[in-house]
Amino acid sequence: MKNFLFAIFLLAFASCNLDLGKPSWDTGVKAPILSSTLSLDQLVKDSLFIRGANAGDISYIQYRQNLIKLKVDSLFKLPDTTNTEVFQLPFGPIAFAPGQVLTQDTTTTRYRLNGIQLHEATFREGKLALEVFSNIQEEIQIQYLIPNSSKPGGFPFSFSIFVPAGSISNPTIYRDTFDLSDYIVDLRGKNQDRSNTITALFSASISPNAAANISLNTSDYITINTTLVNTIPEYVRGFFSNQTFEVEKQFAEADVFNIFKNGKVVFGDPNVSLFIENQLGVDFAGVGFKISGKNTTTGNEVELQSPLLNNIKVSRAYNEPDNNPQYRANKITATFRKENSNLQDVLAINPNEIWYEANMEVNPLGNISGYNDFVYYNTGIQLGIEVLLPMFFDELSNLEIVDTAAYIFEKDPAYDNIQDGFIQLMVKNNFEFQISPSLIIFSEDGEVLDTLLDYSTPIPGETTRMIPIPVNQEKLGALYDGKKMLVRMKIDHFSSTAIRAYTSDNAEITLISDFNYRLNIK
Amino acid sequence: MRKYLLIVFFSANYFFGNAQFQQYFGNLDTLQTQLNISSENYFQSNFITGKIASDIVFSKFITEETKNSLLNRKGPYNHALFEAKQQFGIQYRLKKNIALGLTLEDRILGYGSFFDELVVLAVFGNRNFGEKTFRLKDSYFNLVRFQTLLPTFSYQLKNNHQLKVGVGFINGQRLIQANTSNSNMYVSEFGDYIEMNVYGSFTTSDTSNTGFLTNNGNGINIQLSYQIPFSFLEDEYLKGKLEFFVKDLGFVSFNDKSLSFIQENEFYNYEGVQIPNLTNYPARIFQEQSPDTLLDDLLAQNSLVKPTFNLPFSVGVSHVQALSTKSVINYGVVYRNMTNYRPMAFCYYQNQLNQWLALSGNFHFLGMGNFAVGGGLDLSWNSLTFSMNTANLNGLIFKQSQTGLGVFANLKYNL
Repeated sequence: MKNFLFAIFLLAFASCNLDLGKPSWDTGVKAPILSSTLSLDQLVKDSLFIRGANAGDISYIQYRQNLIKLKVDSLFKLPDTTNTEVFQLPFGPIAFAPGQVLTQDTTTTRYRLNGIQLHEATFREGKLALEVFSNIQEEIQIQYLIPNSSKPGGFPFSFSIFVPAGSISNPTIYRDTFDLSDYIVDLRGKNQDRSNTITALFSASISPNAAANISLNTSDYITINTTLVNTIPEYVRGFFSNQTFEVEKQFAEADVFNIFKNGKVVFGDPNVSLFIENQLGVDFAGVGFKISGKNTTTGNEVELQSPLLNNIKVSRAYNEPDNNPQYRANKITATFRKENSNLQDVLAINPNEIWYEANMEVNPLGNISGYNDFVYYNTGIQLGIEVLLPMFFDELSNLEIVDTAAYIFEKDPAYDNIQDGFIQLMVKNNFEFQISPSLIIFSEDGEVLDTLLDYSTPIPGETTRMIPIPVNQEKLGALYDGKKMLVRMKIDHFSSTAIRAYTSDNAEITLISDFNYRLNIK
Repeated sequence: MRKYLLIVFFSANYFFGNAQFQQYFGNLDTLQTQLNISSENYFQSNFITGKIASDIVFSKFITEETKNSLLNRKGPYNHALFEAKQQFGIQYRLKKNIALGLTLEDRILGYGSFFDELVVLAVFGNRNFGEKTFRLKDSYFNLVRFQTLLPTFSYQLKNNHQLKVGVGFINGQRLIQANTSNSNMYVSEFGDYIEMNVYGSFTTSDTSNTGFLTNNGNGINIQLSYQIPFSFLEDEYLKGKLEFFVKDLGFVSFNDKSLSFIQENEFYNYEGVQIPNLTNYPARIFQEQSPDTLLDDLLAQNSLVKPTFNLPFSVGVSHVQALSTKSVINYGVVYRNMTNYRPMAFCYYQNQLNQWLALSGNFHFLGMGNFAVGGGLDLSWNSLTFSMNTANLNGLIFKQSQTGLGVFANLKYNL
């Protein structure tokens, strides 16, 4: 009996102390989770937001968009042009000695350029294609020369080739090409009183290498075709005529306004400039220029109205062949402000597309340059728009700025211990205007999982507010499942005085845990 | 009657922290051969109520009500001592005046002292406070678990004085030491900013080797006692003894796989994960970063050390006095070498009702706790004696307001 009791006691206390001392209790945790700042520059693309250099400066949004570029080939294009020369005896037979000239002449090739009168061209690239048909039963020498041409080094364009002998039953067809690159060619013709004209000298002779005289009949012939192929000028000079080009109504996306979804913003000092850069040696005038802003969400479109649009002229560029680049462009900027246009009305609809159309006229005053219009390769007339929006507002109401943040919030066993409480969203609004934040959780498929915060808590300018977001396991479940968070901010300003957003202004956002956490001692 | 007294002497004071000492030394007059099994589990504190102690021990959820009761009890400095000791001993009488013994024991000893605001922070967190700097100073906590193999030698001199010596070998299983001398934690009004100035250290033995009886260190434990017959009564049968004792004089040297984190006036601040642009930030931020950064920073500065834990030795004196043929009183004072330990006075009275049953009452004062009263009983059957005591009846009855908890059980078999 005694031994039995002893054994029971031994067993009893040996089993003690196992799994003891692991209590749990709820403790209140208040600690920062993450902090960030939300400034206006983060809501537009970085490259568009120009921060002021100093804290007291006003930053601005700069948006630049090229609209139209009138290139050289819009003005003219050198077409492929062929010249044909034929040699055939009117009577015969006639004997020709080796080296004796069969025909020798001046040939003229004239570009058809519809009123454009070119006097000089430097070819960037291009070929002269030679095609010879001959049934003469002896080798023929062809010589070709453009006397009013030159190339660095001083030699004019020329070539000399030998066309093999042919026969009546099997005439010779000879083809070859000769590079025109870098040749400067006078396009004024033989007497320098014409335009678009290339004058060349050519001759066809019995080959000096022939063994004996050859007798030619009236049936013998030589046909020589010369074609200017794919000639692209590096530089041309002349008179480009008075031309008008129509730019049909078209649009460019204006990303800068995409951040503004709803509401109204009236910029206090908006500044939209139409910039034109004329790199061509021709005068330019914009006729019937129309620009409008369109909000594709609302369908609203407002046309920019300003007298400046009716008087857009840009003088020709300066020809400075010894410089690099060899021209000095002429630029003009037409700046539209609220004082000289209805710009505020255009911007008030939060346009996300810029629509435009125009007629562009070159040489509106005619040939005032005395055939000294010029163009260089790859130059043109460039027209674009630049928007400068200083962060200075006359009115802000219900303006909604929206962006999406992707996130991954993986489930952790430690989070199971969160009992109840809040995630406090502390917002320190350093702006002068009121902001109302909103956070919505979306699944990967775009399904709304939970609204963490709606617009119900406005934060007046220059104040700090704590916004409690209730948190429990259900809410955490939505956070686990979510993949995207829609960050929205509604902006309002109720005073009639204009407000400014300075470089240093932002909203400081801190997420703070503020909940009961169950501590489990392990 | 003499037989009754022997039982009383044995069971008089095997708790209050020096109980173990008394047990293996046995009775003044008897060096007899015996087996002894005991279990001591007690919790002393001046602020942890019986309910909390109970919840901790039995792994329960500590309710707000219980936490609030702790809030009411705490003072500027708050102490706690916990000890769980399971023991098996055998003593063999070699000669009439010599006995040899061997004791095996497993001990968990935890004690510490905590500054007021550290207690508040640990129990309630910082949620319900506005802007506040928590002063986390002058606080420490030691938790050690070890097993001891303790041979003992008892020798009775001709003048009936008795000398007892034990030198034990210790297997160090686990050590956790933490202290902060002058740390601060500042939490801003809204909790968006936390700043810590840390001055303290944390040491733990090999965290990958934590099972029961694992060896992470070795040490020695010396026990000494000298007993002098002394009675303030003239009756020759109503004897007494005066005992001077030292116990737990020793150390445990843990191996070099221990980790230590030492912070000397280190400064940390935390404002949450910094996201420069909320709407254009890699999604991974929420995956890779967590608010544990501060803790990670702290723990990153660790080093492998070979710590030595000095056992908190006890030194004391007690007097056992038979008051009658059926009653005995034991009183004394003991001091343990623990920071903020206050010398503890104790008094124990036992009355033998019959040859099978004795009832007892006790009280003690200070140490790591407050004033407490207790009681117990001894059951005897031939050579077998079973004892059950508590020193914290008040803590058991008034759990939400009184501090301390403990139960002591012993089974002895005289061969």
